[in-house]
Amino acid sequence: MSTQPFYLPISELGATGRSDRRRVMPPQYLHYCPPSAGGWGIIRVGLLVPESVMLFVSPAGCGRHGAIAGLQLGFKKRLFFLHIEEIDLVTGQHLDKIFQAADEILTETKPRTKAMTICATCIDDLLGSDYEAIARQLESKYDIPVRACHMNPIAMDGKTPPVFTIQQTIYDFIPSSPEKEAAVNIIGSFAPFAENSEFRAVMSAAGFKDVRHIAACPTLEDLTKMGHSSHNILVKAGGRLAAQAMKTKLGIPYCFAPVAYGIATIRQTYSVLEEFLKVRLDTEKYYEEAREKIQDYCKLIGPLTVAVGETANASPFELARALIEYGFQVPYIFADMTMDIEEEHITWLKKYAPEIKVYTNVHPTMVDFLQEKVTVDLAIGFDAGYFCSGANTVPLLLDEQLYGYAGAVALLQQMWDALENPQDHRTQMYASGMVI
Amino acid sequence: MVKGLYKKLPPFAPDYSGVCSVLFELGGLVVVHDAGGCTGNITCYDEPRWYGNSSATLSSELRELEVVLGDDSKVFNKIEKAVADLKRRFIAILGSPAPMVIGTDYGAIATSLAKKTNLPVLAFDTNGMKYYDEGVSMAFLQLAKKFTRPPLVTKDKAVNIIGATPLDLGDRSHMEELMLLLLNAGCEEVCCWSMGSTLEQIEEGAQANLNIVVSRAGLEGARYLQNHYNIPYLVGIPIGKEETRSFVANVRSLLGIAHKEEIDKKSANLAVDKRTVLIIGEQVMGNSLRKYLRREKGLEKVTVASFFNMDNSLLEAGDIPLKHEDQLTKLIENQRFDVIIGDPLYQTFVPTKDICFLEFPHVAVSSRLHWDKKLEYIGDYGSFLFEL
Repeated sequence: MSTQPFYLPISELGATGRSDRRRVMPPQYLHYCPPSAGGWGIIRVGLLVPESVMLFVSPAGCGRHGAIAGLQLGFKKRLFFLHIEEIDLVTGQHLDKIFQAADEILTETKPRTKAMTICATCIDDLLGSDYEAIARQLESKYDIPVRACHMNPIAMDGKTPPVFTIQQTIYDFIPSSPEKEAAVNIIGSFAPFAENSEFRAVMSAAGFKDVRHIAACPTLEDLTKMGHSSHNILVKAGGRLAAQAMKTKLGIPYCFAPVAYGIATIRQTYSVLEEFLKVRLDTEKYYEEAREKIQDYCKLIGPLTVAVGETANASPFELARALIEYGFQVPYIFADMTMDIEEEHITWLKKYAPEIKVYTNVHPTMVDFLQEKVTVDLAIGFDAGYFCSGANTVPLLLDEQLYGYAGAVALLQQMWDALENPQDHRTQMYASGMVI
Repeated sequence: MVKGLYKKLPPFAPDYSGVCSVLFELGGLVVVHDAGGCTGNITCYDEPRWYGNSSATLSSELRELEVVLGDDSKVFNKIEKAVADLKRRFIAILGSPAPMVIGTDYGAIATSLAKKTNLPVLAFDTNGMKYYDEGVSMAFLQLAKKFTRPPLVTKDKAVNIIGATPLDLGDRSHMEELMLLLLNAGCEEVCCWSMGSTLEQIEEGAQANLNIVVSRAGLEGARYLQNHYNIPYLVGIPIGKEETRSFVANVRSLLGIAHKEEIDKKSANLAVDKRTVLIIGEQVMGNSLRKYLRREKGLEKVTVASFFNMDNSLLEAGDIPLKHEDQLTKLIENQRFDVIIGDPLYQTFVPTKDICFLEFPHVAVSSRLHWDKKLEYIGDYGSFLFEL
């Protein structure tokens, strides 16, 4: 039953479709969902709002993955499910039950919850149920901020797919503040920058004392301080709608300075930030330090073949370019989408590494991919690790946000660690709690 | 408390997961008509065999416009391309919540697809609102209806096991153990549908002499085979030494290998244990555990409760179908059970340490959280299952 898996040589990677999300696979195919698929999921992202709970209103099946991840990762206590039955769809009575359920949750939850998100799914979107109106009514009744969000993959190809709108929702809990202070918010990532990043020291030296991130806010009050910040720095494309909304609602301008692992690209990113923040950022010594450390790691690791996947916390194309610039070989990239900001790196790869094969995770022929027995020394991202079985895998999860020069060094350190301490891919992957 | 509000438990495996679990090993092209998330639920949370496997369970990647316009042409195109690429033996198409809203007619899609592809097509009107057991039941029934052929020859001492999926039975080693037990009991051929069998073996299913039903969801398929091919069925899972002796004696008797032996209902000199027991789980597994507890532990007062469908013919007085989470809360609060057996996630309902809670993982409940836990229960191993 085996068949040749679909791939594109990087030289044939096209540029059709929406500028923010172009599919690698041609349209009109069924989708494969490999075991390595997933990320944080709508529920986990929604629960980044501190001291909040979520009421998930859906048919029983829709919430299962989020709930299991919640039990595994510890956020299930803040997550409640209201199951919709067939009769509810006819009568609409599940919408009435939301009020009763919210009352029960808000009355009984200890410590008292300070914010709430109501999550709707595909069927309520199709029925045109107005969850925003329900949220407003609940907010008025209980005097706490309540927002609606949508886990509606059915809208994935539209202008407002759920992976974007959920970020808009979580930052919508921040009230507007006329007073601004020299501080930056990091938007788009699910974790604050790793402790070892030079970013805070660089910002502090430039006069920006606070670097704020939603996951670093233990209370709702702390979250409101993000409204006082003077600038937003968007580091992952998924936060673009949120950054745009914050600009409009909170008056905070933003700049896209994406996570990168190539040392030259990182330097360029800091230049973009200098222009945006209108300050000089003293990064030269960090650049030199990183350059030396990267050279040391490259000598230590040696010339390896590395496959790059898109579940890694990176642009797979920028990461592939960085690895090639550091002296590694990248024969395979696993990616379903490309974005406009990746064009520069794709063009570079077409020129300097035209032998790269780009596989998608989702093409139907990928069901038989393991029979290809593709081998590499190292894989970055669980998807690359799955399809290149036997490769030592660097998960590079969304749970830790590497950034700046220290991020590039940390990547190489993790590559070395993966070689020195190989782990079972299945165990590693299931332990991560990744969600579709 | 609001009906349908779940504060502690995760949503259970839905109907589409049940269908996919039954079809997983049979070499078909299984298409979930969904936006992608439902398929992810199945493959990553309800199918322990997914990792490293090449089963073709795929999503139709349904989008808003297709639903609003009722445009089925895209799903047809996608399936036809996949049929050409993957060369599977049959097609199955099953539903999810979104297409249910517009009343998608899966039967009509199946008829049309069968004409276009010349492959057998199974259709399942699943919607994610019902639980996995309904999907499992539908799928076993459809396998029996669509694929078994009237027997030209009858085999001798051949047995089908019907109702087995990892969602209820866990690791495949349990069914391998049961198959071995049946072969040792004198069966000449044992086919465990959907866990360790091929579609070709299922096609010969009507040649069997006996069906063993290991979950409530296997009953409809077994009843169909009884009605159409006169194959008797036996319901139950042999757990523990004593119950296994009885089970084997029944099998041998039904296959004509030996006259029915009289097996003592209870081991001699076994003292009655007056403690009360609640088993929360799938009905056939619950009943089989109850038999084991009575026979080997002397526990007389054992109640089976289930969030999943319970067949009237298998109910004992006092057994409890559960509809909502709050019912379980009240049941445990109001009735003083000494021992509770069930998936580890039910432990949060046990208010006091005075109640002995014994873990018996159920994949349809706790998914990947406990699916790697080894718990031997088939045959003599079952005697060492619980320390009570």
